[in-house]
Amino acid sequence: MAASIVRCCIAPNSSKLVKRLVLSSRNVKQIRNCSSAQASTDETEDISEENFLADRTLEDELMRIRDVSRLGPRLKKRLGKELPDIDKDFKLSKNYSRRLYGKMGSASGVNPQILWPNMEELKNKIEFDKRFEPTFEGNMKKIKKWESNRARKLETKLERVDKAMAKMPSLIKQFHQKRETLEKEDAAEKAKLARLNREAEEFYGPMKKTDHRRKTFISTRMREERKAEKEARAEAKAGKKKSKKEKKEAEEKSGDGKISEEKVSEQKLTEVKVIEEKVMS
Amino acid sequence: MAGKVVDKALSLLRTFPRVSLGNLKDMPGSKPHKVNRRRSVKKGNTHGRGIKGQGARGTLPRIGFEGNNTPFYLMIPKEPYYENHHLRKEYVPVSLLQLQRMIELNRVDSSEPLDLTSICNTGLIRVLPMQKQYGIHLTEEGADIFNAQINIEVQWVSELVIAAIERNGGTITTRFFDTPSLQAVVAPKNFFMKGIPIPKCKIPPTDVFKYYTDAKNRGYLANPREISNARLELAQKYGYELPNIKDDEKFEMLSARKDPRQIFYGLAPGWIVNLQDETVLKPKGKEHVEYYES
Repeated sequence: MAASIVRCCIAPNSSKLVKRLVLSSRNVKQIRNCSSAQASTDETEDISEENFLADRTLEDELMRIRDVSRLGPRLKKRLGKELPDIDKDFKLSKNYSRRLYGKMGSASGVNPQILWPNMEELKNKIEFDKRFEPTFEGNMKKIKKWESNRARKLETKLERVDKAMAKMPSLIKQFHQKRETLEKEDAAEKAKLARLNREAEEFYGPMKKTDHRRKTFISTRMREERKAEKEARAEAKAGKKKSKKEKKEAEEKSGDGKISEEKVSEQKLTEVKVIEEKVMS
Repeated sequence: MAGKVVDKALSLLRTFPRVSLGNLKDMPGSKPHKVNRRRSVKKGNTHGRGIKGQGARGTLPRIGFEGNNTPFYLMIPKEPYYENHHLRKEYVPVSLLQLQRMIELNRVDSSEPLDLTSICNTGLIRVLPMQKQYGIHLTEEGADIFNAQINIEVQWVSELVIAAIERNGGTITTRFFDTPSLQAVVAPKNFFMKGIPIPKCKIPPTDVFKYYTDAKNRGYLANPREISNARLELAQKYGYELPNIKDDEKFEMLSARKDPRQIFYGLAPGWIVNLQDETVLKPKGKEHVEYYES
């Protein structure tokens, strides 16, 4: 590349050459074409500032005077569509060279082969695509899977809803029944309270709603009633038990005629024991 | 690629600085932690709370209080969470009315196939690929007055728009561009100045794959036979007579389509266009040709 040649040109530590490069507002093409052989010949020349100024043409001088743009050397070059200096490392990079080629074409001196990825990069690219890029068939398969999953989910949901809807009439019936019983219980409670209130007023005479006598009367009556209820329940239970027992006894009496074999063997054992004791004594 | 990681780590190790006194660190716990600093040294006096006032007495107003102003947190209502907003694709809306206007004012050449490049080159519509925009969405506004016969390629359409274009004897294709391709498509000059080969367009990602394989959306990956059936069906649905484009003078223009890998008409992936030299460079190497054609 031309870039490497330019670097070689600036690098040698010959002060005269560097002086010349700095003094003239450089024509890039000249520098780029400047080979190492030329540099060595330049070194032998004795260049004074006067000599150098004499080289300039009148036209150059006029152009210098006419130019009032105040642009720096870099921008001036850009305006004249000349090649930029290679003064930074990044200007030797592949990307910069590509851009330079895009801008200047073949005049940039860039080898167009570097515009494409090299073999290693291409290999990496192909491998990357193989691993991470979705394929046509893979996409189709994925979409099919998604759709079947969605359909299956919907189906199960519908099934669940159908099952629940089948239960619905019985549940509604239950709900109404529950509400009815609750209402009944509520009404009974209210009636009971009203009755107790009435009784309290009959007992003590008319009094306030918040009277403590009324409250104690009602609470004691309620307690008594609850106790009575409990006793009644216990009696009923005992009665049931009694009847069961009686039944059992009656059954046993009816089965008394046959003495079970176990009882016979037990009786025999006790008789044997008694005889033994007698013998021992 | 797994081997690359190891290589990278090794190369990193090679470039690491040598162990020296400058980059050694103390062993943990080798230096006792200093506690019990004298109070007077730094914050002994007022403990950073000032001398007087609300700060010193602990009677500062609640956080967010702006001195009887309606506080900021009540002034600006909270925006609800937008799920997957970072994955959504945006399509710039362009109406049929706008398109009609462009055609009538000669901002686009309707005698040639229209695509995203020609629409962006009008300078009226801007597509920003880096902001998750994936092209244009041709909308329905002006569907009743649209009367141009065109061959257009867009990224998103509705059924009515397809009907409005096909009724006038035109054709429409929906086409996906991945982001690098889209960057080239919306600004070709800038792309050619980069001096890199024209990318080959990848197939659409899974979330929009179905859209571009569906004949109803005139997707570019759909079966052409299914597309012709869908054209007939749509004509019957909307009640218009489908013009026979095979007998049309413009048949060649109307039937022009890009390859799924191709992003510019007349330019294949892998080619390089140089505007300065006015040349097209094509790769010759077997591997490169294979890669860009696959």
